[in-house]
Amino acid sequence: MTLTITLEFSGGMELLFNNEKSKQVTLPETFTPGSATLKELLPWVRDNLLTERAELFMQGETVRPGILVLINDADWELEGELEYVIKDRDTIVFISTLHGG
Amino acid sequence: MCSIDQDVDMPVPKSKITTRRDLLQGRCHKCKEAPPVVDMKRVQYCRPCFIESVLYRFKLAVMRGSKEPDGAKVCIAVSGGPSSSLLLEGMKRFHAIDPTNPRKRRKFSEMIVCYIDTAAVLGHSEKAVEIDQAAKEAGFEFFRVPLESVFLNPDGSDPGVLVPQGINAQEIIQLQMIQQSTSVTPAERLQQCVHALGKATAKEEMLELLTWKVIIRLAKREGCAVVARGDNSTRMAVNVIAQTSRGRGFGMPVEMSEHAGWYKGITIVRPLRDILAKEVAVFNRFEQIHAVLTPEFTTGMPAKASIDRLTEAFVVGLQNEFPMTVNTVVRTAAKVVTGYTDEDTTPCPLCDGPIQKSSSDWRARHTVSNLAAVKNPASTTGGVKQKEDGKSSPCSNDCACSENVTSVTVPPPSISTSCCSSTRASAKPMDISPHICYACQNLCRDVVDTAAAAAVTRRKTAAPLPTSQNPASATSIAASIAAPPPEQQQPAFVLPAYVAEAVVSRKGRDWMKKEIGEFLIEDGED
Ligand SMILES: [Zn+2]
Ligand SMILES: [Zn+2]
Repeated sequence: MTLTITLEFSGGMELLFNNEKSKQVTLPETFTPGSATLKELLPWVRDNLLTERAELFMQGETVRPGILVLINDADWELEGELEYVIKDRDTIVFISTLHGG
Repeated sequence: MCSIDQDVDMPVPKSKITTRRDLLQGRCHKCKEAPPVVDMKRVQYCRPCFIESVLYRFKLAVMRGSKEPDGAKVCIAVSGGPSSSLLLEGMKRFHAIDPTNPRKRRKFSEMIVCYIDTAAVLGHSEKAVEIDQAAKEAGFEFFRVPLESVFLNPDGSDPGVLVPQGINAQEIIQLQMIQQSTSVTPAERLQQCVHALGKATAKEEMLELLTWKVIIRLAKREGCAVVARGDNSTRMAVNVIAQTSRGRGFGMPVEMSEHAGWYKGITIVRPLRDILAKEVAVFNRFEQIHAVLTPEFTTGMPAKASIDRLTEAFVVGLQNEFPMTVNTVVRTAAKVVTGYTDEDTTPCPLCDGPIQKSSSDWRARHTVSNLAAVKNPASTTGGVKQKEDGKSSPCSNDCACSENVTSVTVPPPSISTSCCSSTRASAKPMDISPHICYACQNLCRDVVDTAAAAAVTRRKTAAPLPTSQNPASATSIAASIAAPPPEQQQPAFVLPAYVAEAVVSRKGRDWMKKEIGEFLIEDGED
């Protein structure tokens, strides 16, 4: 069984992802359903989907300050942030709230 | 709490009043029922309560910001970013007829949307079409004004352009500018103006102040008493710090206070002044408000690209750790009083902001602006090998706007054959630097620095220059200025003609004051 999720990028985030605003991805087997978290997802997104300027996406092991993350339209800060366990069919949105994109 | 007057069209049900004051874990802090979906650190909202809260704060800021009688016409200034999309949507809802009370009078008579098109310098002209669409959907008249129109008179006639006759920054910056007619298009003038500036910070600042000039012009032309801007609170906190570090502290009340009253006949409202950038993003997502991304000079650049970006990274990082950061900065800055409302405070001919009295004197006394005279510019810009005996004849192969013009008074136009432009001079050059504000002086200094750096690079690559026997003498400088311009030239700095007109009209006023001065009775005299 694999996890298939939708990733969305807006507010200028899409510029870092080949201008794609929405992308459905099937995560590799290394993501175990029921235990894989955002902590694993973020570096995977950076290494596999990001097309430029990793430093504008992540800072340390989390997203850069000013990037809003919504999980199924709820603030990830209410969902445990990096500890959130990914579920199949989740929609995870990254929105840059920074002026310069 | 937070009851909303019914003249804002609310798509959300009114929250149930609850008497329980305690905040329940896992419940919205407002309705205390639904699970929260937005975390603002001190408060958590469910979706409907969040939307309601944002619109409430929006409306409150509009009501508190515009104190003039009802019936004013509003100019909504949009850039295409998320905040201006929310601004447009919020104003649309604010202006909508109350379905429960259709006979209630609206606060404003009419709204127009204005978008200043920066395509000439930043590209992406097609974005205007999308904003046009959004404005049409809102039912507002849409004005797309190209930024380069700032180089024309408000009536569209061509006043020519200001070109430098001599700039130096050895002691106090001097900006000898001359107004002349030109065949260069307004768009090219804008490009020259912006690209002659080196630093991203300076480019951003110039674009910002020209954009604002065009907005105010349009608002006046269209008879708008109110201009609505989309600065959110995060943005405002960034502005406080960035503007202050650029030397715009004196004009801070104009930027920050709810009733600045600086622009004659025009009130500026900032409906998003109590809404964080994060809230803008969440609101737009929930309400499916589409933003048109408008690129800036520093879009996609690292945080250190400009003062603005650096400050933003600083504020946002701080806000992450201390959720009251933005709030505190904005509220504190809104209370700053600088005496800018004094009767005799004049507007800066370039940026229209208030000028602190005798700011150029102050600058001359308190700042070290002759650094270039002390250091060899070559040594500061990267160790260019240059023979000392050469002494790099000042400007022998450059136009007058380059460095090394050691505090000369600029030669009369009869001697010089207008170094920076081939067109004929049609007016006397005037030094505009004493008339512009401190921050604009700083901004224009960047031209000098950039020209100096470019000249060094050119010298590095070009054949050795003929050395002058007597580099400091006025004659050699005059000769060097009269020399034909080098083949490859820096984009020459130009300024819009309105600056000169503002200086002239002000000079006229000062002259009159002087003339009639002896007949005036000063305060304190008997
Ligand atoms: Zn609620
Ligand atoms: Zn100024």
